[in-house]
Amino acid sequence: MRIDARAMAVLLSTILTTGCASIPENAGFGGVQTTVAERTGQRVQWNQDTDADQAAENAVRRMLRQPLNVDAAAQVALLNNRRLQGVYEELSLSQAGLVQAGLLTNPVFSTAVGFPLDGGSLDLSFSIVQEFLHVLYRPLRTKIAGAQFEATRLRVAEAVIDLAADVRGQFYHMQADAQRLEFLRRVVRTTAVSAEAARRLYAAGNITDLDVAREEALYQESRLALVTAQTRLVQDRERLNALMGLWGNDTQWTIAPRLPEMHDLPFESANLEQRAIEASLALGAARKEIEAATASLGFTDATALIPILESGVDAEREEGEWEVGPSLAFPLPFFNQGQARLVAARAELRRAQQTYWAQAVEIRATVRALRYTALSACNRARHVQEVLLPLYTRIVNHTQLQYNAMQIGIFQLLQARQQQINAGLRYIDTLSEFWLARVALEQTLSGSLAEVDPVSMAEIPTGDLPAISIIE
Amino acid sequence: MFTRRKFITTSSVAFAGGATGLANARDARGKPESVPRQDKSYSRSLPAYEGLAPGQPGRDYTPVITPNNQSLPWKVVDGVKVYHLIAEPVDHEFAPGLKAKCWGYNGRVHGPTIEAVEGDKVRIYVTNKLPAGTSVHWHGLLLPNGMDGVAGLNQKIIRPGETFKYEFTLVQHGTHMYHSHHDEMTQIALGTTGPLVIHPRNPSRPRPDRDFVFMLHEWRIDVGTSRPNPNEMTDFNIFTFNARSFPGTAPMVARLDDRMRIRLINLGAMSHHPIHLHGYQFPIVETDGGQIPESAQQLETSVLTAVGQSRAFEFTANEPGDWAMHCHMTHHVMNQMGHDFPNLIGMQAGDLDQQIGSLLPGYMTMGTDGMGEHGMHVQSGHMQVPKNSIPMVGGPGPFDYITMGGLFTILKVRENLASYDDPGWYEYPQGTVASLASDSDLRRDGIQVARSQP
Repeated sequence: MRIDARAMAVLLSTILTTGCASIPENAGFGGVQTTVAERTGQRVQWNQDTDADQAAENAVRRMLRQPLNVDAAAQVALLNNRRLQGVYEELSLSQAGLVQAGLLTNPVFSTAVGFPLDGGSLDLSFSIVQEFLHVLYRPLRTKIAGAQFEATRLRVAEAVIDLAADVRGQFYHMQADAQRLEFLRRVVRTTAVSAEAARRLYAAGNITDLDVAREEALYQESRLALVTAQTRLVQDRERLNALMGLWGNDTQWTIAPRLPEMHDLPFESANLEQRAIEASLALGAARKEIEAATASLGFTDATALIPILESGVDAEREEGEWEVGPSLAFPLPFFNQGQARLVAARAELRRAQQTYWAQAVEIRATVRALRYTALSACNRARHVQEVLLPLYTRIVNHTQLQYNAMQIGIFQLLQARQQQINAGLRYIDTLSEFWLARVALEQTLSGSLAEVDPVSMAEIPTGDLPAISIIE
Repeated sequence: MFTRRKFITTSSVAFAGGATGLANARDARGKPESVPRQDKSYSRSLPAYEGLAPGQPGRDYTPVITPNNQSLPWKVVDGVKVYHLIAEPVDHEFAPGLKAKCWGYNGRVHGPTIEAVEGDKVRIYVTNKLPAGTSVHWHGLLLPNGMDGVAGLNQKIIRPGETFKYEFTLVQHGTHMYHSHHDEMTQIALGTTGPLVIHPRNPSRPRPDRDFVFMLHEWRIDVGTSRPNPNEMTDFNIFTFNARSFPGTAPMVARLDDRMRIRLINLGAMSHHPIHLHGYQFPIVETDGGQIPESAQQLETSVLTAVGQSRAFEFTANEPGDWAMHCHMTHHVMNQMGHDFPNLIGMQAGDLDQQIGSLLPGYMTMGTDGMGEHGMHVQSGHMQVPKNSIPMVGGPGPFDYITMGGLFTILKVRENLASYDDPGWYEYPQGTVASLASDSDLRRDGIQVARSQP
C-alpha cells in the first residue's frame, strides 16, 4: 500500500494553519484606553513592566505634589490602583479564551499492529482522527469567544469608570466633611462663649447650678460633634488613599477643604435616558453576552444531535500494500439527542435577554431619579443659600438689635448665631448631595456630563420641581 | 300695649324710687336735696339747676390743662352743650422714637378732655369710625340708666359708621372719665378713653390758677412693633401720663404761688399707680366719688390711684424749681423694658466681649452694673436698637442723663414767667445744688473715705 503523502500533507497543513492563531499585543487594552479617554478625558495605563510604567508613576507623583482636585484624584486612582491593574488581566484571560476558541483540538493518532494467525507479515495500521465538527464549528466558536472578549473589554472599561466615580464621590464626601468642620468649629466657639458667660453669671451669683450645667452640656455636646466630624474626615481620607492606591509618604496629599459651588446644571437634555442606554458600558457588555449566547445556541442546535463527530484518515498496510481510506464514526442518537443541553442553552439566552431588558429599565429609572435628585439638591442648596441663609443673617442682626434694646439676653443672641451656622451646615448637606448625584449621574452615563447640554441655573424653570414646595 | 303716657308714668315711678334713695345718700354730704324731673332726655335735671346758663370758661371755671392733649370743643344749642366724639384709629406717638397704631377719639390718644360745669345739660354724639362696634360709658357719672353706655346691657352696640346720641344733665362735679364699654379689654388697651372734668357750679374752695388733668395708662408695645398688644395681662412695658412716656411728657408749668390742682385718673388695664410729687405736701381733696370734707383730708406726698379711680390734690406752688412727679412703682418708670434676659448685675465680663465679638461684631455686654446707661448708649447712636423703640430710661437733663422713663414728668415752678410755655431747666441759686464734697469739707467734718483701688 502506498501512502498518498501529498494528500496527507494538505490535510494536516490545513488543520494546523487554521488551528494556530497568534495572541495580539495588549489584549485590546488600547480599546479600553480609547473608551475611557473619550468618556472621561482620563488616561489609563496597564503596567506591564515597560517604560510607560515609570512615566505613569512619575505622573502620579507630580499630581500628588499639588493640592488634588477631583479630576487629579480620579487620575491618580486610574493610574495607581492595583485592583484595577488586576482587572486588566481579565482582558488577557478573555483573550486567551478567544485564542483557545480558534485552536483545533489536536488530531488523535492511533496505530494498530495485526499478527496474522496464518503467518506472514505483520498488518500495520495507522489512523489520524480529528474531531470533524470541531473544525466545522470553529468560526462559530471564534464568534462566541469574540463576543465574550468584547464583553470583557467593555466590562473592564466599566470598571475603570466605576473606580473614577468612586473616587470622585469619595472626594466630594471628604470636601463636604472638611467644610462641615469649619462650621462645627464655629458652633464650638459659640457654645464655648455661651458656657463662659454662664460661668461668669454663676460667679456673680445670678444663675443656678442647673443653668450652668445646661450651658456646659451644650458646649461639651458640640465638642463631641466636632471630634466625630474630624474622625469622619480621617475615614474619608483613608478611603481615598485606598482608592488611589496610596500608602507611606504618598498619603501626604492635600485638597481644598470646601466643596465647589454649583456652576452649571447640565441635566436638561430631553433624551438623557436614551443617552444613558446608548452610553452604558454594562449594557454594551450584556449585549455582547447575548450575542455570544445566541451564537452558542446555534452551536448547540447543530451539535445537539451529533455531539461528537469524528473524521479521520485511516491508513492500513495490508499485505505490504498501504491502503488509505476515510473513516467515519458517529454515535447513534438512540438515547441522548442533546435535548437537555438545548433547553439549557435556550434558557441561558432567554435569561440574558430578560436581564438586559431589566437592566435597561433600571438605568432609565436611575437616570431619572438622579437627575431629579441633582436638580432638587441644587434647588434646595440655592434655597438655603439665597433664602434661608440671608434670613438667618437677618435673624442674627435683629436678635442683636433686640439684645441692644435689652429685650433678650446673651444666650438667645448666641442661639441665633448658632441657627445661622446650622443653616450653613444644611447648605453643605444639600451641596454635597448635588455633587454626589452629579457623580452618580456621570457614572450612569458612563462618562462625563460635559458633553450633555449645559444649562445655566437661571434657565431652570421653577415648574420643573413641582414636589418641592419650599422653593419660592 | 304700652302707651306713651303709661310708659312715662311707669318709668317715672320706678325712677323716683331710685332717686329718693340717691338724694338721701347725697344729703349726708351736704348736697341740695332734689326731686328728679320727669323728662326723658334730661331726666336727671334737678330744680336746683333750673334756669342756669351753660357754664362758661373763665366766668364759671378755670379750664383744665391736659398736658400733651387738649379739651374737646363744644357749642351751645338751645341751652344744651353739644359735643361730638369720634372713635377712630389714631397713629399716636408715645415719646420721640415710638409710635403705635392706637384707637382713640377725634384724632387723639387718649380722647380729648370733655369739660363741663355742674348743672350743664349735655348732648354728646358718638360716631364710630373704628373697625369694630363700640359704646361710651361715662365713668362715675350719675345719670339715667339708659345713658350709662354699657353695650348690650344699657344700649345697642354702636356699629361701625353709626352715630349715637347721649343726653343727660350733669348733677355733680369732679374728675371722671369716659371710655369704651364694648370689648373693653381690647378697646381700652388700645386707648379708647379720655378725661371728663365737671367743674363745680358753686365752688366751695378758691378756683385754682393751674388745673392739670392726667390720665394714667399702661400698654404693651413690643420693641420693634407698632401696635399695642391688648392680650397682655401682666407684663406691660409702656406707662403713660396722657398717653406719653418720659421723655415724651410735657412738663407742668406754674408761676410761683399759683394755686395748683392736679387730677389723676387711672384707666390702665391692671396696675395701680402711687403718683409721687416731689417738694410738696398736699391734701387729696377729691375722689371720683366727690369732695373729701376738709376734716377728713390728710397730707400726702403720694397719691395712690387704683384702676378706675380718680384723685385730685391741691397745693400752692410756693417752692421754685424742677420738681419730679412720677409713679413710685419702679418698673413703671421704665420704657419698653424686657424681662426675658438673665440678671447681669455683678458679672465680670472681662474678655468675654472680645470672644463674643469675634462671632458677633459689635457685641457689648450690658447691664452688669444696671440699666442706667442704656439710654445713653442708645441715644449716642453707637448701640443700634430695633426701629420704633425707645431706650428703657430717660433723656438728657441739665446735669446728667435722667434715668427715668414711663410715668415721669416735671413740675416747673418759676418766680418770673412771661408765659406758661416750657421755661427750660431751672437755674439754681448759687450753692443750692448737691455737689462733689471737697477735701476741706471732708476734713472739717471728719469724714473718712477709704480710697478705693482703681
